[in-house]
Amino acid sequence: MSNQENIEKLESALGRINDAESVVYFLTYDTKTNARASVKYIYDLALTLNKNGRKSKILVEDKNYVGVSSWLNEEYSELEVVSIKEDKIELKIDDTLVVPEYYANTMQQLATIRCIKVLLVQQKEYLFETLPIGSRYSEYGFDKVITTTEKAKQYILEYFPESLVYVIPPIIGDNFKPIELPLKPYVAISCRDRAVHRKLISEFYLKFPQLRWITFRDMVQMSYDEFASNLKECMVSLWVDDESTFGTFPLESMKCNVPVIGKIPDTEPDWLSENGMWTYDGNKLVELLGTYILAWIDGVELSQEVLDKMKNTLEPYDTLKTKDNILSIFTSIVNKRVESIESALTKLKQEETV
Amino acid sequence: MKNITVILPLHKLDDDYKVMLDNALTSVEQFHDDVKLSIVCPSNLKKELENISEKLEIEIIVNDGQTDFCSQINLGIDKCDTEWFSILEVDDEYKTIWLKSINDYIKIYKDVDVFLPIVKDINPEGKFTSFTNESAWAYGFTEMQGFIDNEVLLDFQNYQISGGLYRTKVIKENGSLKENIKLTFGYEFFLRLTHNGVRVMTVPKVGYQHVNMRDDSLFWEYKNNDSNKLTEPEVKFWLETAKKEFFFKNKRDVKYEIV
Repeated sequence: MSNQENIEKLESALGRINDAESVVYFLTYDTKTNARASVKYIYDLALTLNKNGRKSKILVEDKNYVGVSSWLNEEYSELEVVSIKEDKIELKIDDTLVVPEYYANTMQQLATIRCIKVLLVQQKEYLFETLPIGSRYSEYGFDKVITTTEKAKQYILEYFPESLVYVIPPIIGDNFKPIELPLKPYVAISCRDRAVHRKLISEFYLKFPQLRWITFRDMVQMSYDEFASNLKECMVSLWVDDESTFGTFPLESMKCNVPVIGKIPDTEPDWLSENGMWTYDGNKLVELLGTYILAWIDGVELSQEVLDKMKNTLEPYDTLKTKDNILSIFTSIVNKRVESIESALTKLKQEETV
Repeated sequence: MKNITVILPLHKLDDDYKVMLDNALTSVEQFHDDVKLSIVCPSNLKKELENISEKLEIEIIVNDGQTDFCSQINLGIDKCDTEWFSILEVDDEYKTIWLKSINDYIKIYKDVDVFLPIVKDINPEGKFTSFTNESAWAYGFTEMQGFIDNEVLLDFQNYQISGGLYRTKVIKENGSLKENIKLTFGYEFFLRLTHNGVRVMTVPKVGYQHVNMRDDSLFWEYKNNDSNKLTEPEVKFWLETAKKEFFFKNKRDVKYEIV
């Protein structure tokens, strides 16, 4: 390719960026109608950008992708879904490709693509799963990383110090809000491991037979709206997810004024404080739950101090703040590309004049 | 303006009863701004009861007729002029959260006419034995969680009338307790209410404490006193009777007969 052709290519890339024609592609996996916070996170990023004039598309493996219409509301349907196989997407240097850690195995193949490449890390435990031993993501051009917590950022920087790491916490939707009705004697239970889920309920009913009438609400197989409306009428949430990096469920509970009893995950969430009933020992959960429920039916109410702590916990995760954060991070990522294009252009033009 | 009457039936007042009554009244006194008390008793107790509480507005209703539990309650309901009433047994007590918790639900569930608290049953030694009324909240137990329906009652009898809050007008329309139904008069009462479309809800808070099987209580007599003891077939008979009688607003002659 001649210098002149390169100059034209770079100038048209700048033109597309200026005209907001560049696209941010979010590589997304298919949950087959199952609601997943990690996929909602990706859709939230894409939707926020799309609504603010940055064209975003959901990139999927093939046309068999089921989509999220069964569990996310209609708002998300504005996002165009394109498939790698059928739509044969051509990624330009001004486009952005966001790849979640789930697809880390594809990075080697993506190494030669010249678009802006961003690694999305929601579960840092999966970072090394498909990465050849001793390799770095930056070797494949992934030197920008988006993650959800400060702790995950520190972890990534410890092993990949060359990365530019941005933190974007998940959006805790505004459909999570306290109800005006009195709370019901239901426990919203969310456990990553189904065996733990069963064990906790069994132990609870055996240890507190006088509370066998308490209902456990299994917070799976629900649309996002159903999830919110089911959660907000519960008197307490029970959360066990050792692998959790961020911990969306406890924050959703707190936003509904539903207190949380939980096992502290292997990586402590950034927001962990005296804003719930936390333990490192999973064996204590049932005792904590029973004690709390007995107090609740006896009329003991959460103190204002605890309610304030729950509210304060949520402050950094305010929806508007998070959306602003998303926009400014992607603007910064694109601006860096603009700078590098402009600098390349200057060089090429100088060469032309020589 | 007090809009709740607590009806307390009393047929005697010996030393033990005085201690129990004092305890029961203390539990009502905490709601003295919202609640008045009607003690239904034989005339010979009237004088002794007149100044029994400084905080409470008390009406003594004299009953020199039948002084069984149901008849006393029925008289109390008949004389009741407040929007709501509740029933307090002399050996029981309201918990501190009774009124607040029920009020929280009254505000929201305007079509409900009977609010039952969860009742904490204790033995005469004061030890916890069980909860009552709580099963309405068990998943899949009733058609709508928290509400007691007629279909469920036909299979499950364990609901407690004392401590509940009843809309006076609705109970007067649907008939009160039938004293000629031994043992299962409360069961028949709930069957009748739910059959007639009265919405009965359990408030999921422990609002009332009930002593089970206190010596010389009615149910203790049915179980332990040789002269009043009910046999298995008799218990079955009274359960079946309740299921036959709830279609009728007023009591009818019931002849005990084991076939």
